[in-house]
Amino acid sequence: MRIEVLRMLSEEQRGWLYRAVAKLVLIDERLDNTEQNEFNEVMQALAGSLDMMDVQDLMRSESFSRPLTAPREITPERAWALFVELVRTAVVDARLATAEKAYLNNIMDCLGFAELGREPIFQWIELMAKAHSIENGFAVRLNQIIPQPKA
Amino acid sequence: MRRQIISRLDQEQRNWLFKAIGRIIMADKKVDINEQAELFDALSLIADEHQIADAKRVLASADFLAKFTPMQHIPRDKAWDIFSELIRTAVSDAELAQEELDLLNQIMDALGFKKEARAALFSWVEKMVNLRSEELAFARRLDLYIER
Repeated sequence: MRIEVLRMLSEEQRGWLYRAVAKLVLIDERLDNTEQNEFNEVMQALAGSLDMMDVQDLMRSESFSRPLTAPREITPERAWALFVELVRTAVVDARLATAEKAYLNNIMDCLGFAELGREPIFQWIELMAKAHSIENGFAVRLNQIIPQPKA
Repeated sequence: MRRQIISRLDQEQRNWLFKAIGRIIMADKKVDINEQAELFDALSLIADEHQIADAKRVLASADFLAKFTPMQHIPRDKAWDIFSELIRTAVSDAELAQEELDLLNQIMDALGFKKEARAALFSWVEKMVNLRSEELAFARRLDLYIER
């Protein structure tokens, strides 16, 4: 998550985003390293530690498991900022699973997005996933980009 | 700026990244609101105590404005982390001026990137610029997408 976005959010909105990111990451059946890091970051923030017991306690808690509702008195600009942060997490592994897409749709309901405007937004998300796929492709072929550093 | 990337860098690499972010942001001589936030983050997250205490002087210093010194012995994955973080900064205003492209080339030299790999990298950067532009366009027309 981007620090500049986290900084501008209220405590309630930040807590909402952490919960939404954690739920999004849990939907994905194949966690890559970046998603694992995101998950650790939000768990650290929500549970106060990465201790397995604390994390499990949190995930079993009523406050974590209840369905997400919109943060109070949220402006469209802030709703968009929260949504974009979730999109960035969703595409970080370069693919958008059907379950993730359904989850983002629920988030859009929750944040008050109109039904009509969703298609271009999802097209943009698909392109974001493709761009991440290219980036991840570079990262696994670094020997073709950067010669081995001299000892 | 991504905390997990910064946490993997040592202080020398962070200082180098801080200089690169500052130079990229100032390269096109316009600093928009997104770039200001990036610079502020860079300062608070990666600069050392001396730089934070005297940020204005550091940003105008000869060392800050000098050509990039090559990062000796930097592992490939760290070089890539620095570069990918810089790209996120470079595209945050959804524009890539010639000065920024020139600077990215200098940075790639300093990080030891092969010349022949650059066309593909710049093509990806171009895609990132377009996607950021689309994101900002949505943000300007939120009345179409979000019901008040």
